[in-house]
Amino acid sequence: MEWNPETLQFLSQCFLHTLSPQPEPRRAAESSLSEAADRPNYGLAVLRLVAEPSVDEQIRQAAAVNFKNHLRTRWVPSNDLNAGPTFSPILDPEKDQIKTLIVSLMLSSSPRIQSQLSEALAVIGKHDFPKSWPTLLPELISNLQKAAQSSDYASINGILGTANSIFKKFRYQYKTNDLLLDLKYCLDNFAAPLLDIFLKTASLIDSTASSPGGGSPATLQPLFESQRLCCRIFYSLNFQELPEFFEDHMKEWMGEFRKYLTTNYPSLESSGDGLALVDQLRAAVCENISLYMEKNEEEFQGYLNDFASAVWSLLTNVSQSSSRDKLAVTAMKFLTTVSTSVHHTLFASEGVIPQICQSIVIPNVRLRDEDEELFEMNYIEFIRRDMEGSDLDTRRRIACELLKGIATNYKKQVTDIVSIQIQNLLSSFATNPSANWKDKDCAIYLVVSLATKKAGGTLVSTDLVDVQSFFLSVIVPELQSQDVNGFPMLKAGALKFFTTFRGLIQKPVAFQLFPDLVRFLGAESNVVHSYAASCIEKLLLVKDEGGKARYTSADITPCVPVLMNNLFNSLKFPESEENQYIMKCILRVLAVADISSEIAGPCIAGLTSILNEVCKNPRNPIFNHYLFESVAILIRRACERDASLISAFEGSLFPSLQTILANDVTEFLPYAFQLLAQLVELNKPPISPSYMQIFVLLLSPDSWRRSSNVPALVRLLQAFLQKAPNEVNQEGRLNQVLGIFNMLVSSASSDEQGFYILNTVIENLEYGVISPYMGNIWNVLFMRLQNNRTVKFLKSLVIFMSLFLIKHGATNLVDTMNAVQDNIFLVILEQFWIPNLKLITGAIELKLTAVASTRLICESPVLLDPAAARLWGKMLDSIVTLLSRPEQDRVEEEPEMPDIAENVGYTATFVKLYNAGKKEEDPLTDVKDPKQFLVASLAKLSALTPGRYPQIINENLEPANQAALLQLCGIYNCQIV
Amino acid sequence: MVRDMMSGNESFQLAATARVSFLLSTENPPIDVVIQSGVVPHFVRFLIEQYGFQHKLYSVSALYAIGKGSLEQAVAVIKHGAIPMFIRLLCCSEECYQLKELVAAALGSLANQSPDFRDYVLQFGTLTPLLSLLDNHLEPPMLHEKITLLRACSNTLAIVCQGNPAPSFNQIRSALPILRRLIHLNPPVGVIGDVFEDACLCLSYLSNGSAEQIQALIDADVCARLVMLLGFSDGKIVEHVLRTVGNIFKGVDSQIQKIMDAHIIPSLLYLSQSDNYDVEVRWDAACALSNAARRGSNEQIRFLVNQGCIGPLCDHILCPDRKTSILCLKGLKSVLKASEIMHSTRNLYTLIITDFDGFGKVEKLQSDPDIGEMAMKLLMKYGV
Repeated sequence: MEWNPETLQFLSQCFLHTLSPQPEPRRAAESSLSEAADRPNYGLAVLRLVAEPSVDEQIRQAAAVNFKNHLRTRWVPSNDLNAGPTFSPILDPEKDQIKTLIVSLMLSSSPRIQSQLSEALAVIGKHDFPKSWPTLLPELISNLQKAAQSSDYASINGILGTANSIFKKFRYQYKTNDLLLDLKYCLDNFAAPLLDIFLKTASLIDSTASSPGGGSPATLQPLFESQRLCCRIFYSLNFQELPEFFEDHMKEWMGEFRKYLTTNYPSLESSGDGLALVDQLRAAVCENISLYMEKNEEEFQGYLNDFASAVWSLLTNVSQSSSRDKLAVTAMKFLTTVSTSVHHTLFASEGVIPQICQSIVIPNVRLRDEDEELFEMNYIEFIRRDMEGSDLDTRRRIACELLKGIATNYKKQVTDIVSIQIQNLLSSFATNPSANWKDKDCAIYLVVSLATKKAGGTLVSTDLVDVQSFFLSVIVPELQSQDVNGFPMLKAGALKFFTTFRGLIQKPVAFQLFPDLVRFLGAESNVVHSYAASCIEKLLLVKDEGGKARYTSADITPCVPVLMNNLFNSLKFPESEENQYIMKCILRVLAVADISSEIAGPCIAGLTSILNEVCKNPRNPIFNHYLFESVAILIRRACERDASLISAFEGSLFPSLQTILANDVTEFLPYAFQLLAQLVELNKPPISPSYMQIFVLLLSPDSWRRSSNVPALVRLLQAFLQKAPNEVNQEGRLNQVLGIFNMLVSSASSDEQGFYILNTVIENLEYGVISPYMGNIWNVLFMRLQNNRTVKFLKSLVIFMSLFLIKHGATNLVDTMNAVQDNIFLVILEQFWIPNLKLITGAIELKLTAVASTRLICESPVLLDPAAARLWGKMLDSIVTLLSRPEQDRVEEEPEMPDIAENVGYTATFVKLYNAGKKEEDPLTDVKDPKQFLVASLAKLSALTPGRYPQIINENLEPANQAALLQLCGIYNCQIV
Repeated sequence: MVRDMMSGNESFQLAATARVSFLLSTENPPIDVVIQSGVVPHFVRFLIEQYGFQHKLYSVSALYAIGKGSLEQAVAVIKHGAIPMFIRLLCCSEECYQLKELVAAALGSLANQSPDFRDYVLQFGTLTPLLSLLDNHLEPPMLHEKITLLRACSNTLAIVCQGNPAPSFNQIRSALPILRRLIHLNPPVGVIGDVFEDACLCLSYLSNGSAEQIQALIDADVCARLVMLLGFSDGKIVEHVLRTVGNIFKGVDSQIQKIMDAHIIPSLLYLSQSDNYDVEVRWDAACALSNAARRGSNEQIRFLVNQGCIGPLCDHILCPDRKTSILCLKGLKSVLKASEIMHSTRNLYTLIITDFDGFGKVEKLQSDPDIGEMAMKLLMKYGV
């Protein structure tokens, strides 16, 4: 794209239209831009447009955004095929030109455009800096010095902002030699200028602040922003290790740092924005001194006392306002670091710990108005923070971490002070519950966070508090309160406590409270009924020692009708229509309780009506997943008890499933297919006509187009093949099935699925039915073998051949293969079967392939032929290798239902419904032990021609395998003669 | 030093008192030497108002050290009239926590010497100031600096409540309302936990006695809380409470009913087989159940059996602890006797006992020198 007036005109028009409120011109503009983006020098042209002063600022801003995004996708385009469409990269000459232009352009532009260009610069820097962009740093520095001379803080902050973003990589990248070299380069060049500008700004702040009136906010603001950026750069440059330059100039840095923690700037702090700015600087300082405390404690210790007292008094003065959270949190983190360091004696003097507890910890743990607001307005976010540990950076949490930090060295003092504080909070609550309920909440929060390990750790009860006694005296009364709607935050706290410490609460106590939990499902507060559901759900997962579930179906079955009723009712509360906690609880109860038909009836009615509702607009993938899992487990467990229920389930579910199929509800198709598969499997042949309709639909290539559907469709197809083998053989359907197999097996990403189908065909259809197709099947497989063979494919192939042999005999296997090409069987055997046999894993697969291979060498004339003696020996060698591997850990009979990850979305992926899962079936039930089968077969065979096989074995088996074989013969008392 | 102490010069006296009190705080304090030197009356004298705080502190600390010594040594302290002085200090209106803490401890150490000493300490009215200190310092907000005083008071309270023979109930019953408050503290950890445990210990002593005593406990409205305390994780607390409950079960029917109504049986059943505590807890729980089975009415025994009490009694009948073993046997006997009366045609409870292999276990007791005969009789009468 050449830079000329037409281009200018074209681009400005396009960017103008992208801002249009009308969709048509906007879309048109967007598409012509994305088309133009493929042309060389597009980026450069957009950058020029951004720099063109004659163009309207709004247009240039849009162009700047576009430029940044353009660079993001095309500077170094991603090679990951799954990450979306691929973009043509920007060519080197264009890159060079962009790199020469961008710094000066960024510095001369208005703030909004500057920030976009600065980000764009960071994108380039991420890939090219410093090696492929040696001019950047010198350019930045010389500009910085120039701007400093004229105190041009717009430019200074632009440069510092850029430097900050390109140096950030030193914070999170691994310490490699390359990284250290880059860091050294940056330090050598930038450390001194950074200190210069930092000190210059510091003295400007001092002189401005000491002038009458404390200086105008407009002058001070850019100065503080500049200092903040310097602090962030300080953090990046010091993160890996303490650089010499910074060690030499620690005094200068620390002196200013301390000043910002201890000085007030009234003219700035009187406004909210100004205070936020100063606080940001203070928070940045706190992060820097925490870093030094953690990594350079020895060099830093001279400054520690001053900083500790500065931070401490800062903390006692920081208000509860949420705008100061970040500062409070970083400051408390600093004290926490100090408390666990060798300098913990700072806390040892009389009265320090009680005072910290009283004036820092307790005030920060108390509920604030913002928390109450969140509780009411956005329950999902509240729960995420409160229950699921995304509160790592909240004041409440960090205040407790501080207390725990102090307790590492002063346990006795902390225990005493905490118990007194809790007594006081509770007695304050007792004097006037309705006015002082937050005191009790505070006490509950303290106990919960002091008794749990840091996030991620397993749960423990520490001796800082006594969980059981607290539960009985403080939590139980709350749970037994008759008014489920009074003081909802307290109720939520109590339920959270119960959930958190469920393992520690004795069964009789917990059991007694079960009806109360059920009652709280009826609370109006979304958080409260969600917590009640979550508590029940988690209780049902508690395991005693030895892994047995503590609460069994006998325990809960009596109250299941009420429980289910309340669960379904709680889904009717506003905003809880798609409450995932409730749905998960439904799932768990259905997994544990006895499902009688009295329970199954209302449950399936309730679930299908929800299903019909969410079909209209699938929104919450987690809720929907648990919904489908619930349906699946309900069907599975109810039909296990009473197979006649199946028709009732079909009656309720079919309309919903048909809606999903007919309206093509993309998100739900994989689920629908899995449920259908489950239903088909539960049916007794003959399959009803309504299923056959679906079968026809299933065979149409359209259904298979979306890759996310494939696993579920395969699963459904397998179900049909098992339950309706005769119908498959009508109207040319088998041909269609094999067509699908052909399609799947040709691609490496779906070949396994193809084999699932093929294996099911082989297992369930008569040989006479499939034999006409075998030539074709082999052709497809051999083709794939030639073009694109992967280990996974080879393993699948060996398994398939084994299965074929077991089902239809060695002769059929050899003959059908050789019919495609003369003697190909032995080639395949030698090149693929023998070498890949030992790679087979999985108990069923291992047995299948071992037995099939054994039968091959003991029954197949091709291998019994003396000419094939070498192959015979190699095959046996491979079998022995396979069988003498240490036994796989047996998979547990029923593994725990896995939790699905929170970030599940199903537009792109298939999510397996655990409860609609297929039971692995063993095609070889008559052979129990493949080892015994091997030696017994060999003994029988060798008896026919004594002396022949020992020799072959001697010549072809690895010595280790010979020994292993001998050992097996001993174990099973068989002899190869 | 002795001369200094007897001199009229207050600063000489203070210095000498400090020296002696230091000598007495060493590892092998020369108590006898100090007593023989005749300074004990002086220590007592220094406790009157006109002396300063430090002076009193050293004197109390010296007297405390002597009082912790042998019985004869402690006599010296009492003989010279320290107790009434101590009590005056406890009652004084000044907030000298440290001094009061020491005084409370000194009184405790004296009372700990023997039941006679204990009664002597009680006779002077020690309990009243002790209880009022506890009462005041439990008022919210509780302050950190007073907490060790609280502990000293509760510890001394526990000392004056115990001993064999037990103190007269009328002398100590006034502690009940405070004890009730103490066992409602929460959470019982740290120093507060120690205070809490002292209170539980006191209750176990107070409950060990006549029906009137038990009634006083019940009237103090502690039953519901006691049941709750059985769920605590601190084994010591649970043990004290189990003793208390066991004692209440030794009362009359209406008293037994009171604590049963507070749903105590499920907790006892749970504790009798719980692995969460020391074995003593399991034994104590079984003993408490046995007490209920031995003292309860037939109706109450029926209730106990329906709740599942026979299991624990059978489980612990061969307990290595003789007392538990004997009590379980007696408990079973009582259950069988009640069944005989209630089920005229057939002794239904023998079936349940058989289910738990109860008779099999009783058989093994037949050779026991003490209870072998009882076991044998029981087998002959009810064994199947």
